[in-house]
Amino acid sequence: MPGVVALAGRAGFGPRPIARLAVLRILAPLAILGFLASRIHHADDWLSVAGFRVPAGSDWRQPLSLPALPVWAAWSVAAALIVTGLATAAGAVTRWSAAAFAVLLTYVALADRLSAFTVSKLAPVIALALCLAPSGARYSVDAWRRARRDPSAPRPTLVSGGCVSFFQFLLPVFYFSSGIAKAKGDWLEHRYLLWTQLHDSYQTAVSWLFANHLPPWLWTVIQGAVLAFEVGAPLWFGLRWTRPFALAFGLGMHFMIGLMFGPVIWFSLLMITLLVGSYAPERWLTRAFERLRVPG
Amino acid sequence: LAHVTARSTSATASATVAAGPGPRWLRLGLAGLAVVYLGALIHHPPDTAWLRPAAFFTQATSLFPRAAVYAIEYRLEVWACGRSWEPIDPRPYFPIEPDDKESRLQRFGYFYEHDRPALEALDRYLSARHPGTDDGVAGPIGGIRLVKVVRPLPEVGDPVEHYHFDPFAPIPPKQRRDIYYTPGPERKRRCPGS
Repeated sequence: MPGVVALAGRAGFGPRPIARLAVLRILAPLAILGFLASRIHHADDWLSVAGFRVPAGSDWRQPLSLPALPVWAAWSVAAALIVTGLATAAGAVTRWSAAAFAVLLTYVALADRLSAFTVSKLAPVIALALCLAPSGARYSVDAWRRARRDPSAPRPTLVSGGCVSFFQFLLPVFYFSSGIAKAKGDWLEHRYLLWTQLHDSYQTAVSWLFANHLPPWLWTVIQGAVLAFEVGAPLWFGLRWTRPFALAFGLGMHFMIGLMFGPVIWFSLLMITLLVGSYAPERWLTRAFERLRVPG
Repeated sequence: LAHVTARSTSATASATVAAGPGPRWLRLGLAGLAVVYLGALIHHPPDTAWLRPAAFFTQATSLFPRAAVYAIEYRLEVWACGRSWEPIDPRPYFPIEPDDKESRLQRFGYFYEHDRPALEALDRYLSARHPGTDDGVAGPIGGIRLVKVVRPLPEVGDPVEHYHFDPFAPIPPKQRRDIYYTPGPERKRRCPGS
């Protein structure tokens, strides 16, 4: 029993390659900013008194009624989101920039329910996790400056605690929860559920092409595979021998979602980032940093 | 994970490990919070007033759980003074993701189609901003009409239409649901002399 506890402890809190954390720090804020780009571009409509606001107290599901900002403040929030997001990705003053990014992301998610989606809800948690982890310790402006000040200082290759395992656990838990919601919904009863999603404004040229040319039974097969992947995600990602297949399936699934459901592409890119940072082979990540000559 | 960890642990002796924030008790506390968050993704917190903001951030995993029965979109029309109901282009009023269902108008229709105070707020907003906005209808307006377009899906295997958002496209009567319109007396009041 103590052996099992020790193994579980190591699985949860044992050191992980720091390249994983660096990948997450660089790519996740970029995917989040990509999602926010169309909102930031119209910050006045999004957050200020110049745009349409649902009256306070009109909706019991609205988590918090925050007053609309003056127009100048809305543009300031938008600019701060860009600056802190890019600074987090670059690893510049990482802890402070990621903290500010997390606060701003929390604010904008709560400020406008009409613009809040899955990415809006995941993003503050991801930014907070990057803030609390030593995510600027390598491959960052912070690390580069540290190395310039003291070239003999050791460069960490691992990261402690749950800094990476939080993301590694987040993915299967997220998929599992999503799979359960699907199973409780129509996924076990409606054979063409995926096909029914291809007719409205999420439709792309690719999904339109597939909707017209793929045989109907294939949608049922894909639907079943997605449901099995999501409900079984803790197992697929937990077992060493199924993990590479889970990674490949997850990447393929999000790639196809991005191609077939227009605006959902940013959610797909964020999930692909989490998958790659959490589960791609370490040597691929380290080699990518070497090839790209990322400083620090 | 155990495999990844075991490999990493064997290398720890010769590698430098970047530590998380603060002392051990703080890191353990943060790990506890992470466990609570991950648990809440599966079993959402109760939707009480105090927990609602926290619950909001955990209600993120229910993606496409139901089959679509219709393709739905929301359109806007205005009562052009001295004329009648005419469709407008909502995109100048709702410029974020204007052509798809991530538009704030489409989301508003989805969330608030049964919420009279919210619909009246939309009426006030559009009526106040119509002058000077190029929405396809010139001149003063007496009110708005929010229309839900409910397009049935084809049978599986039948040709699928290429979707394109056109706020001025004619709406077949069977697909039309009037969600809200400015009451007649109010339209008359706003259109004096017509």
